[in-house]
Amino acid sequence: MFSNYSKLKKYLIFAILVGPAVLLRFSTSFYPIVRTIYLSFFKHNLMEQVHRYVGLNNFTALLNDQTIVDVIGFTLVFISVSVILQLILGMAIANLLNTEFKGRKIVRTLNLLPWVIPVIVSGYVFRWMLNADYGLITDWIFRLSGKEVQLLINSFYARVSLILVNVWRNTPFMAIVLLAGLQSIPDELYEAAKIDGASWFQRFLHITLPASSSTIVTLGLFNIIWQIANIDIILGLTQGGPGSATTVIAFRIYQLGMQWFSWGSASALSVYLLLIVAVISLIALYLYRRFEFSS
Amino acid sequence: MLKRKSKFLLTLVVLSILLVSVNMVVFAAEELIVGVGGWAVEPTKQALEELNFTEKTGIEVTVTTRPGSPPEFISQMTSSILGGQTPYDVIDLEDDAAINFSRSGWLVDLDPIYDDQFWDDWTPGMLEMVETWNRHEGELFRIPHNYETQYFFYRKDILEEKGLEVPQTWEEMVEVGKELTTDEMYAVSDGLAKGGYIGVYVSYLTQQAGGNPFDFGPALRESLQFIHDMIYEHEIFPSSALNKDFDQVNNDFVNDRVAMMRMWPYFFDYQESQEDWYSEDKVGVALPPKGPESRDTFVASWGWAIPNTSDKIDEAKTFIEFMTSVENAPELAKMSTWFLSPRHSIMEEIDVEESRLASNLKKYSDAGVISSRPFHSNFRQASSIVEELASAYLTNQISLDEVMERGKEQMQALEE
Repeated sequence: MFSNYSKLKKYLIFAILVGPAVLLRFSTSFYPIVRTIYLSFFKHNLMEQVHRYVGLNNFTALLNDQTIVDVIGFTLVFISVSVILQLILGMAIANLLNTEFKGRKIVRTLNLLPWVIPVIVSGYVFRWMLNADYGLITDWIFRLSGKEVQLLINSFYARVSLILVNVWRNTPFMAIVLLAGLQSIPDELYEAAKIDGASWFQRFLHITLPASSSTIVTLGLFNIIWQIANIDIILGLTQGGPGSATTVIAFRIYQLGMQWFSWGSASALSVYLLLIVAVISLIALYLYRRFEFSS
Repeated sequence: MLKRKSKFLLTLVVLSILLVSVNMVVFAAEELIVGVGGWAVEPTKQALEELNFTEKTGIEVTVTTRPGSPPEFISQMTSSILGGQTPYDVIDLEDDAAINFSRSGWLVDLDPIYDDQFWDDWTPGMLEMVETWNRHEGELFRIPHNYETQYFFYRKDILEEKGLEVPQTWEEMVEVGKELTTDEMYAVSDGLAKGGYIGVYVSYLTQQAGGNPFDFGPALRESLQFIHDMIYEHEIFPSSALNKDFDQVNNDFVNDRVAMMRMWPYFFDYQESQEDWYSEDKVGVALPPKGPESRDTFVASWGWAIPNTSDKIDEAKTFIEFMTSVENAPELAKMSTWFLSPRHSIMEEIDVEESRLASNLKKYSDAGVISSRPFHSNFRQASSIVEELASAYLTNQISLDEVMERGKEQMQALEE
């Protein structure tokens, strides 16, 4: 009897301690995911007050829409180019900030400035700076090359501009995290390599890069997932245009769901996105374990 | 055990919260909340004060700003209404939000407010607009208080200086445009950015070409081709306009960078507010150049509506009845162009010659060029489809054939 009471008390405490966390995860993750999958099989439009089962129609309709195919294509380009550039530039900045020089602390703080500006504000500021008539950057380009470029009107330049603004905004954070990784590398390794006559590049290639690999992989993979959900910079800078040239999947979901209230289609596209994120997460877990063990 | 000081502080905090809550409840219970766009707050307040609304009805009103951007506003209202609440008892609604809310069944039927005689005050064109844009399943869900016609503005001084006549057709616009375009100035422009701008100009021209943009038919094709030609072939229309909103184009006009353009009526006030620049000899208003089928210009409107989650529906109806009555409508129109429409009572009482907007509204109305805005029951998404494809074509990403093909497919998917 006593033993049963003790067990019950133990389970009760366990339930009280774990219950809120489980409830929170259930209501903010599990339920929305299940509900999204459920809605993806319906034509569900809040404004038209429609709720009709349509099977896989939402999924096939999306794939038959050339605009959506283009959007998926640009999403892959946007994410991969952004992440690669952010990591390369982040590593370069981290290396610079890891060297001894006067005013290093101030420079480290200044480095973070683009990252602390709200994303939507950055988007709007660059929208003006890239404006064909009044823009600061377009004016510089004109003064340097004598050419009037319309950065946000030409689809190629608009895409390049969006990626570069995104890189400008996120690279400082990458740099700071990578810097933390660099600081954990023992100085003795570099000193020994120097004595052996290794050049700066050799030291970077054979010490810095392998020692930072787990940080790079973790950061890179997290960054991919963050970029997938990145819509505010697009909202501020290009609104997904010209046409749909700079629209990514997450932005299209926002349009379908929050602007047009077509929740069935938005849910179907979210399911596609969920699958993409799931695949990336599995790869992430695999690579993370591999690099964690190897480092 | 809490110490005495802590207990005192805690009691103070609880009491403060209670007081604030009670205040909010009392405030919410007594006043009718009217949500209008930021630009309409002062005219609405002034109207209520000068017409002694509270003295006459005993209803206190708070006029507050609702989000001006439709997506933001629709999101705010959706979450409120689904939660059985509303931030406003009366809302000043634009066309696309009104269509959305009416299809959702969120707006109160306003028909019981008015008798048949009330509608005698409305012109046939306005009645047509009421039927298309303000009624759903026989119920009146919004009552318009203005009649926002798009006007064709031109630089009178420059045309006179160059000895040019105001263009009467699309072809003449191109010919005159070639004469007007210089290194400093483009002949024609309009806001062609996505997000509610390019769709307006495309719809305007498509209507002049004899069609509805949502059909993705020959008229839309013709209008898109016309804009494309003006930008790239005749070079009389700046390609930078493809990323501009109406404010930016208005700014271009008053900075002598544009000679002719279509614009909503608020441009009258805007140009006149540029005191160093504006003079009566500078800006003229003409009828729109005729397209292949007509020289029509469509009208948009704002109007009063009541969300059915309001707990002050009777007071809200009194407010709307007051603001739209045959007696008060002309007074409101005299106070602000925001309440101007060609209702008979208004046109009879207002001194048309004194107001540029009123005189031009009369000119357009008499010429019979004002028509209803192209309609679609899912206006918001349908407009986005038109905007996205038009923008892609005008920035040379896809061909006109692709616009038509994709547009028809997407509109069909929308209808299913």
